Amino acid sequence: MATSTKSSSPVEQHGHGHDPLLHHQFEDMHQQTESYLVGMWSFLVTEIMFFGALFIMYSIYRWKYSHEFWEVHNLLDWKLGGINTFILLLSSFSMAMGVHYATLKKHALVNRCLAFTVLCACAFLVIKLGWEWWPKWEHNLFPGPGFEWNEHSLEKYIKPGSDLLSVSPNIAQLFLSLYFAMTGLHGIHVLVGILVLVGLMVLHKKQTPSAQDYVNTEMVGLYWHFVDLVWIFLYPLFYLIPK
Amino acid sequence: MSAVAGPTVAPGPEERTNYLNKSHTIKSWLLTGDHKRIAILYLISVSFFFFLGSLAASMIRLELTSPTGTMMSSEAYNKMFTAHGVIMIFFFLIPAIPAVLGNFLIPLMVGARDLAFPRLNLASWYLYVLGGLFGIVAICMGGVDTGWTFYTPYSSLYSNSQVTLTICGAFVAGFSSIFTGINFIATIHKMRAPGLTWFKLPLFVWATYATSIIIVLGTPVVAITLLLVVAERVFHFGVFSPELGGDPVLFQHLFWFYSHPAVYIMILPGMGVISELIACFSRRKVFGYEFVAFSSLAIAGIGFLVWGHHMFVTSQSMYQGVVFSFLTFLVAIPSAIKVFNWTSTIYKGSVHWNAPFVWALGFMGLFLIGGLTGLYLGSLSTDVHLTGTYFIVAHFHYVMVGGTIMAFMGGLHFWWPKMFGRMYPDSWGKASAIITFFGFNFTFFPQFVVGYLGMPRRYHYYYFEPTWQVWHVLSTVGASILAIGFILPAFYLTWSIKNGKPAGPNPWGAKGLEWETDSPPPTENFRHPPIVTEGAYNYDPVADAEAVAKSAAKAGD
Amino acid sequence: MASDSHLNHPPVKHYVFNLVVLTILMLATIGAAQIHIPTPGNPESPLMNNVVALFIATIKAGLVVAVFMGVRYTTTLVKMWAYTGFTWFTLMFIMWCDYGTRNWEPVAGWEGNPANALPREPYRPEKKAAGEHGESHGATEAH
Repeated sequence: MATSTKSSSPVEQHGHGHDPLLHHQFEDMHQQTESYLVGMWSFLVTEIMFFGALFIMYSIYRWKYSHEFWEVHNLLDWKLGGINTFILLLSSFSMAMGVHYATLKKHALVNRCLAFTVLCACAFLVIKLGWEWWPKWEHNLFPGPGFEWNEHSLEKYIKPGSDLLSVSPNIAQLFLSLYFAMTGLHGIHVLVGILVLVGLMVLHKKQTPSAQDYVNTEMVGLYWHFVDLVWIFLYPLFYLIPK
Repeated sequence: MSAVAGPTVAPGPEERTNYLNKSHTIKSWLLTGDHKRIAILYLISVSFFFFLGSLAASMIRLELTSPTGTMMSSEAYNKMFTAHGVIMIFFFLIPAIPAVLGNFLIPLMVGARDLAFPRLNLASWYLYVLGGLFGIVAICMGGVDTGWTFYTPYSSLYSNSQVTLTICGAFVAGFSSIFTGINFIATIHKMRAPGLTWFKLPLFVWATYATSIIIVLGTPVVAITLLLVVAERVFHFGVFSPELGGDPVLFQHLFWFYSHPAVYIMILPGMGVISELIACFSRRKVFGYEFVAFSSLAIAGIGFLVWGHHMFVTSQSMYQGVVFSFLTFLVAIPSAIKVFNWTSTIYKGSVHWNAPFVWALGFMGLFLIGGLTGLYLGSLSTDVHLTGTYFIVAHFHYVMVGGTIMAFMGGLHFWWPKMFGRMYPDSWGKASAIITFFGFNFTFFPQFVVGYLGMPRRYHYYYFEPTWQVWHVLSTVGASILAIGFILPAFYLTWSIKNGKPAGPNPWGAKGLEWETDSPPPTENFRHPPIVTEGAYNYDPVADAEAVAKSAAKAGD
Repeated sequence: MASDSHLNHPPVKHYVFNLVVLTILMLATIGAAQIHIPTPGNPESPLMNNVVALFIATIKAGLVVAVFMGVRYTTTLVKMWAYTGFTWFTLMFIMWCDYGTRNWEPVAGWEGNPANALPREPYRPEKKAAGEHGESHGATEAH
């Protein structure tokens, strides 16, 4: 392959003498930023496929056991789910604002937005674990050997119009397995998000070079919006099953 | 042409700093961000796992020489073939070409200083090692007996072996290949040297790009599926459990949604390597370059639509089986395009019989048989007879060992001078290629026959049909020859690192961008950033014939 | 700098507007779940409710991707990768064809039977048909 080499000196070629944010393997900031975004999006593609497989499983069982799924979904409280949806939407908004201020290099404002996002994330987890997971765990409604499906374990959930006990405990476990697996993996993503956001806040606080480059905040933002995206589908699929 | 842009200042290779002699501490290797060093780390670890997997394979072959299995119990045999499969697939075949040759070559071929994300690259190697450790610990704690496919409900409800640990290993190794894939995608998209357009890229880069797409789109699906198997074992979640109304076949759907494309993760980079070798040693531009390039993408795309042919004899609907069978035949088209175009490239080329070319020819012969027998298995009615027999075992070994490992060895022989700056003895290279080729056919052709006769895979007793013994003994003898073919390179290649002749920047007279820099390359790859003006295979037969005549005259002096 | 194209983020009011629309859509999806939306042709079926719920969810997801994630304002290359995942994920729905056609087969399959891991029942000619044309079938059986 014929090539020619530039006549200028290698140091000049590398071009990172003047921009401290540029990593050595890149030619300019434009290339670096777009590489990061492409890399982040291809990571998000893996996340889409990751959750996608779960949604496929869910859809197949929902189709097969549609009546049972409607009955068992009465165990979930759509009001709590709705509050959580709104919390995540708010957090997404504040994250987007954080990225906005990062482009303007207003680190204090970025941190205020990120702090609000973390607050929302924590609230989400508290509601999820404290008000939704814990009562089910307490009433032996977690799938596994300790699973119980009787008047005692269901006393809180039996409502007029539904007949939970008519559902086979096996199918109920199947639904709850899917519920705990999907919301659990989503919850793990929220938890990771909190850790990453706190780390990013420290960087902004210290105003390190990696905080100066807005693309790092942008990448965390992309991840966080993805977490929101998953919940947007989880909410109607688990909490709002029509009869 | 290569001489034109070669390094203009040329002191001996020892005196120039390169990625190998830049620093010598262990820390500088373990914390490196340099893609070339990470490739060497991968080379060492991948070779180690290949050795482990081969040990298991030799135990299997020895056991099968007797129809009543004298060496080990049935449980031990189950664990042996599972160890062979898991190690070879997750820890050798999938990372072998992308993570070793791809890591080393992609930045060189696109004219970049490094991959886009060096730290992610290093993290990928550590994840690979961690996954491998999980696998080894699982073997030490008693092994797994599910087969590498981890089919439910056996793996989730019944097996008493180390399924959880092994799955964790495969899961972690999966993320290692995802990181590699993300890195390649960003690098190939964004880091190409000025002037290096897509259609000037070497076909190896195209193939690696297609592979990365498969990795990124497929691996997460198997990751979550295996995770649910672990959840089923540990927490008694019941997504695949027939007791709870789940469908175990759903596991197979999701498993093969990744694992069939994973076959292309293993073979596509090999095809890329072969394109490079054929072009270089025939001194011709690859015939139908665009077709070969797009056939890689076509294989990646169609490869996602054929997974159901692994499930023809399960409870999968037969109507869906018909569709999958049809789509399976479609994959044969891009694969055939590649083979025909390689053949046309060699035809009337000016062929140079160096060791890498012999390996490449071996690949073509074996891949041809492997690919064509795949058609038998892709058609519904023959598959019902052949499924779960040694016919399948022989088929995928022809593709995986005959294809991928021949390509890996060919690529290693081709780029070895670039990696270490030294030449190995060419005749030894040719000899081991020929030994491997014959040993391979000896090993696996008898398996086609015995499989067609009905020998089931994963059985070590066949006393009900003792006449099969002769085929198994043949196969085992062949495997010993095959072993020689793989052991020889280990010796002469390592020998050459210290004692080989210095290779110079371009020992083969090849045209790729990677041959324009020193061997071994400096840490920053190119002392002056290259600007590309010509395609990757701009060979000139006339000039080449002159060069040959010149060197012949020189030899005559 | 050349990277201006990436800094081309929307003005803040777009974010605010997006949040408002998302919240309204969330309330809409809750509201739609409280009533029964009749499916044309099959008034009992919950199909239309599912369609509406997923349609709203898809719009919400699209808004998050386009505005919050900035895909609308980014380069073609990033857009391409952003769309790839969502497109490729739909391939997995091929699995539906399997589950949808299993009970078309002339053997009792997964859909027809209570779920179990046992092998399928062997193929038997339909008994109903045998009853209607009892004589002719009896004749063939005798052979």
